[in-house]
Amino acid sequence: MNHHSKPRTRHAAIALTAALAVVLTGCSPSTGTTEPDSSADAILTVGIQKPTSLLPGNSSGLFANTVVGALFDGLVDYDPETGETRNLVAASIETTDQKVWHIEIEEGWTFHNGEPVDAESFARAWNAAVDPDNAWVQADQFSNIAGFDEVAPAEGEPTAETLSGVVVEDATHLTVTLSTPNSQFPFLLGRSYYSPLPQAALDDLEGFAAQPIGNGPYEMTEPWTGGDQIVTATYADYTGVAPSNGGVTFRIYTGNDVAYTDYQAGTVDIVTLNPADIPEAEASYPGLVKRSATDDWRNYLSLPTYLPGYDNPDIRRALSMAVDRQAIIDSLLDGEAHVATDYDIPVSIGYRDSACGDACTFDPDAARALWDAAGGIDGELVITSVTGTGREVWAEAIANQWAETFGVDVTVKQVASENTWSGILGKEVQSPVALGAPANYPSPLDTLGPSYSAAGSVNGSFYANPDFDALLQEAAAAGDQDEQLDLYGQAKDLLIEDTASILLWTYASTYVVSERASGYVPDSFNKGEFGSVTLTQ
Amino acid sequence: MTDIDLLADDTARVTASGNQMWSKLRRNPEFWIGATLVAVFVLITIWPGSLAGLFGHGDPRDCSLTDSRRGPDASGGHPFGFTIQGCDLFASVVYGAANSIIVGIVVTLGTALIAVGLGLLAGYFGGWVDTVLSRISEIVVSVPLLLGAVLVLNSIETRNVWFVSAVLIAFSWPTAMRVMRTSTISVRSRSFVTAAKALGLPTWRILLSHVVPNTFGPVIVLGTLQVGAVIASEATLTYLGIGLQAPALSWGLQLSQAEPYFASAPHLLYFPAAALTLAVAGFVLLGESVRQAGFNSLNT
Amino acid sequence: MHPVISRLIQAVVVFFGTSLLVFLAVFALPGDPLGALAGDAQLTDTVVRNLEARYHLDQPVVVQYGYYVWDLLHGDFGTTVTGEDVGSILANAWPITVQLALTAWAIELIVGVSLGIVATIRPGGFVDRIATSATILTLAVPTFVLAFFAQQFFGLQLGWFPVAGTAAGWPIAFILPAACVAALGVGPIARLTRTSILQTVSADFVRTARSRGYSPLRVGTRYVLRNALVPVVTYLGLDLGSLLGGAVLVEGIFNLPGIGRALFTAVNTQQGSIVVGIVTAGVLVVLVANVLVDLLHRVLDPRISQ
Repeated sequence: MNHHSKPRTRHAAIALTAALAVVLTGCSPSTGTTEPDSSADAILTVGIQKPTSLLPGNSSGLFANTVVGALFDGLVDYDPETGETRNLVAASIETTDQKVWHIEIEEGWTFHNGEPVDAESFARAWNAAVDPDNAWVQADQFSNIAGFDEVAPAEGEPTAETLSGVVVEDATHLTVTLSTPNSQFPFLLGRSYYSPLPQAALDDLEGFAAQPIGNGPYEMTEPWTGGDQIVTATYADYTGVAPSNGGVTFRIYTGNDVAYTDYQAGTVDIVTLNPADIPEAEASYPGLVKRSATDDWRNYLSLPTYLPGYDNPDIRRALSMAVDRQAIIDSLLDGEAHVATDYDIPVSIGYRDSACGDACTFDPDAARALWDAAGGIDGELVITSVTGTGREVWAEAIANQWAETFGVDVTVKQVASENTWSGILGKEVQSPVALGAPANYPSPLDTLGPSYSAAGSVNGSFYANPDFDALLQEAAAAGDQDEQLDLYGQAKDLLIEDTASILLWTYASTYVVSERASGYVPDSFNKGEFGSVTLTQ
Repeated sequence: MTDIDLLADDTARVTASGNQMWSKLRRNPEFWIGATLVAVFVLITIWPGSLAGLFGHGDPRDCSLTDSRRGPDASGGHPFGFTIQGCDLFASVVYGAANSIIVGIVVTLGTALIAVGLGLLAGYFGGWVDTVLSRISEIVVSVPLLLGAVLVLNSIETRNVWFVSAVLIAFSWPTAMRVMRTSTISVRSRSFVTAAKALGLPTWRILLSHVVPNTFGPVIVLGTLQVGAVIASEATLTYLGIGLQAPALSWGLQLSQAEPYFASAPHLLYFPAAALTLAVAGFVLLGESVRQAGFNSLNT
Repeated sequence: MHPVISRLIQAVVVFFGTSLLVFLAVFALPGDPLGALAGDAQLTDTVVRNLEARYHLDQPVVVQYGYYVWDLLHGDFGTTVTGEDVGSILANAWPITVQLALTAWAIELIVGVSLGIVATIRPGGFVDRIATSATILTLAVPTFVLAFFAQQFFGLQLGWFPVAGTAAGWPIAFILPAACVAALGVGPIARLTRTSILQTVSADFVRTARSRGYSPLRVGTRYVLRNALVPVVTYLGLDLGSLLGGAVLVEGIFNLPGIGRALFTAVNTQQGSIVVGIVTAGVLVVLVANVLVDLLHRVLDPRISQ
């Protein structure tokens, strides 16, 4: 035997064992919920997916909105039943011309660090959002405020550092001047990116990004550095209605299906359900499945109207009439959706129950007739779906329906979700695209502006109708809501006539709630609303 | 993958002759099970119609939404039930074999070609050629297959059978190359090679006529084992959403689409999973039995 | 030069080579790194310009790689385009994956070697056939299918193990996922152990030991096992790459917040810097493991030379 080896081998062996031991026992993952002593202090766990950012001006997507909504309160929020705006931090919002807005801020609101919420807080937040050095993704949402082009010009260097359209009159008065009138401006004020920011945000932006200090019912108790939980507790000095629980812990999952599995194991209170899981959840947990009162999502197909064939409204109408929406809803969506009847979303104020008419009704014979009369489209048709959304299932069904009705080949292709809009708007994706959109705020402009106006940011159909844009402008300048709705209705009628995109169906956000959590009412717009949930032990 | 890397040393020592191997194989039930499975799957890859129509509904594209997710209905000619789109699941599974197995075979052949070529060069010439090739193979092998494949495939918009195969080949060739290299090294010092060199034969001739025939046996053995592993990899990548795409018929796709419906329609998951398992098992059994038959040892 | 040192240098070279490859794969291939940022909205040109300047996206790829390596040498893994620090993301995710992979390694080792030993008690016998044939099954069932079923039956229906998450801590929360990851390797290890033991048992030095009258236990462990396990250890080291791959898969299903999950989120939202960081870290792990395997070799058999 080799005697030299003994001490060396023993040392090596010990070192290895020690290393293993340290790694295995030393790394203990974070534990879940803590045990509260009374139900008022009980912590609610909510399943979400990873938020893009917790900074109001830099966050996008459903889940970031949920967390930001819990941490921050804006000037207004939305009435869950009517969708109308209600003053929250604002005491009043007045205008005479839909262009200059006088905002009075209610006194007494404070940030989680004690700083008061005043007019400066909002000006500070909005200027930070548009600051090109910050490069926050929601900067574009402020583009209609006067002075935006000087602070963040499309080309060239900025000539101003703050928005000239945002003027702090005094501690409780703010005046906002828009570049063009927008009667729907108060709706925007309820969006999370219009939230106020404390001075502490600018003093230490990096720290703030990990642990934002807001003015909402919940405050963060520890920074979030990308781990699997965001921990909040009820803010003791909250000026609004105090929450009935002790805080919310947001658990981060890779998908709603994984969250649902964890729900079934009893470790999370509220999760969003994927449509595929709804029937099973209904069967296994009767009474615990909660839906938004009104549908707040829409599915539709954008159309490449710049391509031959698709530029013909008759062809577009034919394609729309060849889709058997109800069959897809019944067999693939388990009846959880409703055929779309108007161009916005049911939660939008002014959504009409039967506006779409023939264009949205399944009639393969009429569709075929229209198609033939218009000359059809040569070659293979493609429907593009977005990976990871689950839409390819019904996109395939629509493809089959078109194949059957028109006798052409139809295939389904995929585009990665991060390339969806650059692909569509860059004309790299040259086919109808299966899209889904949630309602952001309850005004028709939420859908009509971005999706169908000539300058719209997500105008996937490249719809450009000067009459339509003129109607939108008129509605933006109108002072009376009935007048606005009438004008929006006329605008939507234009879309229906032109079949600007193929409307499919609308559905409601659906959640499943644990037995111990009661009082949860899904709110389509006030995403972070968990204050009404009480937990029984 | 599997114990492929270890075969780098083992299979280089394959010494049994063809006859010896066959007599061992004949007696090994693993071989027969594996060979039958492989034969069946290769058959339905080349000619899906042969099996798909067995129960009367052989067209996987003949779908009706009203049948969506219905369960198995043997008397009606739908022994596996229906898919989400309302197509016959049995036909879909049969046609789904094609993509998976084609990828398996293409990748294995491609890997073998590259491995044989590079391994020959590295083993025969040695020196800096060997060093460079070995370092490159080390770099590639250090990237775990799944991570590397995710990386590359995610950037490709349209992923068809050829792209996916190319990526899998790119990450699989190092191990096979090493096998080839080891066996080339052991062969190049053999007497018949030295004799050929002494005779002044051109290098390419020596390589082709003398070295290759004696060295690529292990690579073949490796190949049969690898097919099974590649099939499983393709299914995994497609399941993750970065492999083949809808509406391609692939087991990986069928499995990923089936999962959300598992509670209400378990047949959607069970049948493709069983088919996938059988296909992989078939190739692995075949490969294992061939490998063992190559040994002159006491354990078969 | 001391072999371990030369191995380390080799590992470093391979590491940089791989990280360059990975970097190129992420940043040189088509795709818009800023595309996922604004969701359904559009980024203003100013924002785009600023983000590009901040993350050097407007520079040629090689320059970007240079920045990346420079930062890496300072311990900075970079920042994603949403402003998150990649280093802290890795630091959070990393220990979970390590725990998972090591647990799987341990399961592979224990179960595989035990099965292998059991199979050699009577070579060719009933137990042997069962053990070696059954391992084919664990190899053939794809990991994600196995994980899904394991989760459904052992987690949901039987309730033996938590369904997802790390709340139960190590080892309870990791056993089921680790077993799924290990399943792939148990078969080959069992077969390898078996083959290796059978070969070693007939070797000269073992016969010498037996003829000296040493107890069967001593012969078995000190002579047979120690030498027979050498190829098994080699295999374990080489297997780490596929263990990591398996961990990636299984983490998503069991919602373990490890590198796998971070990878998929990053890939889906196209945060290239996280992807590069993760894959590079993965490579690092494989390299470190191989060095450790070399060390283990020396522990088991000091006579081993490369």
